[in-house]
Amino acid sequence: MSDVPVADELGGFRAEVQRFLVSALPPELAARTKAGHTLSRDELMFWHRTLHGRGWVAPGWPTEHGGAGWSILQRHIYDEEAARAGAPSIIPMALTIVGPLLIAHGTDAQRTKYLPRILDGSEIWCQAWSEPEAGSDLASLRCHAERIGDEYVVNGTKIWTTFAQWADRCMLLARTATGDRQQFGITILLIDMKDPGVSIRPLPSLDGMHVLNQVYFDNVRVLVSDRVGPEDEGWGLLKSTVGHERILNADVGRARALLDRLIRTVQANPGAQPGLRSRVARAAIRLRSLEVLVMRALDSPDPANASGASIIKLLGTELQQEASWLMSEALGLYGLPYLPDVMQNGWQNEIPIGPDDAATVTPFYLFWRKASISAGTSEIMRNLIAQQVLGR
Amino acid sequence: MSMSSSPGEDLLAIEEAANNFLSQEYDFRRRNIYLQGTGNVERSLWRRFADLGWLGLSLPEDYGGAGGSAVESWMLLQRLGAYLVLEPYLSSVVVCGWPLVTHGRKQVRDRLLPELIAGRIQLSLALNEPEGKHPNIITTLATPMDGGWRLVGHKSVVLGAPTADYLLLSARCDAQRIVLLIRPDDAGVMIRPYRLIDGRTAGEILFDGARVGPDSLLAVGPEADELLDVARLAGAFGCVAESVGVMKAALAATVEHVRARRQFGQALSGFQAIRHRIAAMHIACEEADALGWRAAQAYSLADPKERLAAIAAAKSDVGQSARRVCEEAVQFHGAIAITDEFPVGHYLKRAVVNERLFGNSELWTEHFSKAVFGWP
Repeated sequence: MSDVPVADELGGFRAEVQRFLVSALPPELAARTKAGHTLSRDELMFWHRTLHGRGWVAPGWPTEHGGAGWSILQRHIYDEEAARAGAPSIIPMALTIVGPLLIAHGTDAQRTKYLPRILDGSEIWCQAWSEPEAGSDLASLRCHAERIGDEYVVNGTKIWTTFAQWADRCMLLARTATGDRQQFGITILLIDMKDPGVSIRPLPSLDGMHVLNQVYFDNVRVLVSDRVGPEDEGWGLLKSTVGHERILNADVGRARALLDRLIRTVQANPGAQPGLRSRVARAAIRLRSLEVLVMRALDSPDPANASGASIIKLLGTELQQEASWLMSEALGLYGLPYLPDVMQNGWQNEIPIGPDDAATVTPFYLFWRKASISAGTSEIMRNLIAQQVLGR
Repeated sequence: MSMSSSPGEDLLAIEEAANNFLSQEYDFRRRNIYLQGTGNVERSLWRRFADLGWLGLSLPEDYGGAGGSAVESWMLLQRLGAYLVLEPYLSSVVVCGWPLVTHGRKQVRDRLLPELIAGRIQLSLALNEPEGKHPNIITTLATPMDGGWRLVGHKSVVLGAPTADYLLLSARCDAQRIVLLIRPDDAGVMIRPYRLIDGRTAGEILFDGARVGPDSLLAVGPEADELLDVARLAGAFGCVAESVGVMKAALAATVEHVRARRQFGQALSGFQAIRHRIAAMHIACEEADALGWRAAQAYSLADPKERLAAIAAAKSDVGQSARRVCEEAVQFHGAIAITDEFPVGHYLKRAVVNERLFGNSELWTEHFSKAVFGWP
């Protein structure tokens, strides 16, 4: 795939990113990432600390808070290069949601307490938003927080909480009031996951791996000083950060990395059926249009809220899903064995069953059905797009 | 051509009996327990399948079967798909049992079929090879030696291999194809067992100079070609029938979900966009059912070309459409269907595997064009 053309002055930035990746990214880790292996916590945190050492772990944060202060275009270039080089995606919640939220709406004390430990990786965060009965309709959430003196007492449950099993802290959306508008009465609280009232139920995914969890809160106590923004007004604060998440989730870099891997898989397989080849080409064509749509969104005054953002999320995730399916098909019958140890560790001393990297492909296809569900379902995206076209 | 347009009462009774048994003994919770087992699928359940008359449902009465045709199995296989049954019914009974009714050395068939129908043995067809993009290309070598054969080669992703008592092995002998009956514990035969993504067992089989005697001969030359063709067709038909059951189950779960699930103050089933997609899923199920039914009936036709066309049409359509219906089912259910403890994602897994086994949609579309239009 070719790069989207960018202004000349960013060519130097791209070269700088490339130099860093060559020197800092261990080839074994890059190979494991490209082969789609399930990375361990240690591997993810190693890369987090490496980026922190270079000052790049929080690309979008302003420099006075320890971020890289990159423009959204620079971030896009970094994402492209990182995907191409096989750099892991670090655990994102604290960096893309919690940090920006605290920077925009937190107190000085909260920023001082939490931001440095997010940056250096000494604390992992999760975000507890969805509930069993509140998915797309997130504002109908019911997990309850009651103010008692200078504390809130939280009771309820959250679900689909990514990496809760590793998290030290949690950004929680809690119900503190009910009113005519369900968006009113939602409060953002910062929870210590070591609180004895917090418990976690792992939810293994279709690929057999453990990423998702249900989290239970049983009389969990939170100091009022760990509330972000005013009581009952969390929804408005959140909206300013969700747009952020959306454009990052579109993750064109990921679509391109998957497509690159797909093309390698098909090229390594001279017997690939003509129909498959034509569908691969079709996917590559769709990526080209997506690249331009992304550039247009990035050129707009407010990229995170650009009108194209929903289209990019929708198309980007669909393309990722299509690429992962085609990769599975390209493997033929060798796309079918389920080998969980190999998914994590690769082949060690045995003769591989099928092509070396085959074991990760179909499980990823299954797990990645998630892409059109999380961070705003494709149905929600279509609603937003229809609203832009038709009005309400 | 005369055929009934839908199953009559006798066939619906098979479906009902299967539902009664499987809802008791093979609900999703029990299935997960079976899945945690050693991979040596519970033979106690297999013997109960025999007691229920399932193993001999479409096999001749002479061997202890019920003497039914493919339509009886069409009913049963759909249920085995819908309940995500892990036992090697498809690989053992359909892929191996059905061809043995008409093909292969009579002494061997007469010995194997009663044992198979009684639930005492399981069979598996070792056909695919790692490099063999086309299933007709066979590189495993059977070299004549001392009246028997010496085997060298590699069979890949052999469904049901880890639990099979006998393997039907396709190989090349001089310029011909040969099918041999071998035991997995014969010296020089090595099986690397694993599960497929849908939980069924399969394995790689490596032959490194294994020696088998003259008794192992099942078929050679044109007889072997025909046996393998019949086996492949049976495998394709079995996948179709299972997947039609799978997609109907996925649709039923989705209908229930969109009626019960409320977001934005109303049931999901109240949104027109959702209703249209449910309608599309239903249409896909009806089309798949129609093609599968036609294929099942075609088994009774004298004309082999029409039989091939009917099965090719069904495999071409159902493979893809079952997967798409299951992908939609996952999407409608949302994140819960991404978890392994919820059945809907397992429908998708089963549909994915069945789509690819015994040739994918593209391959069977080619077979169809060739059979019907004579296009190469």
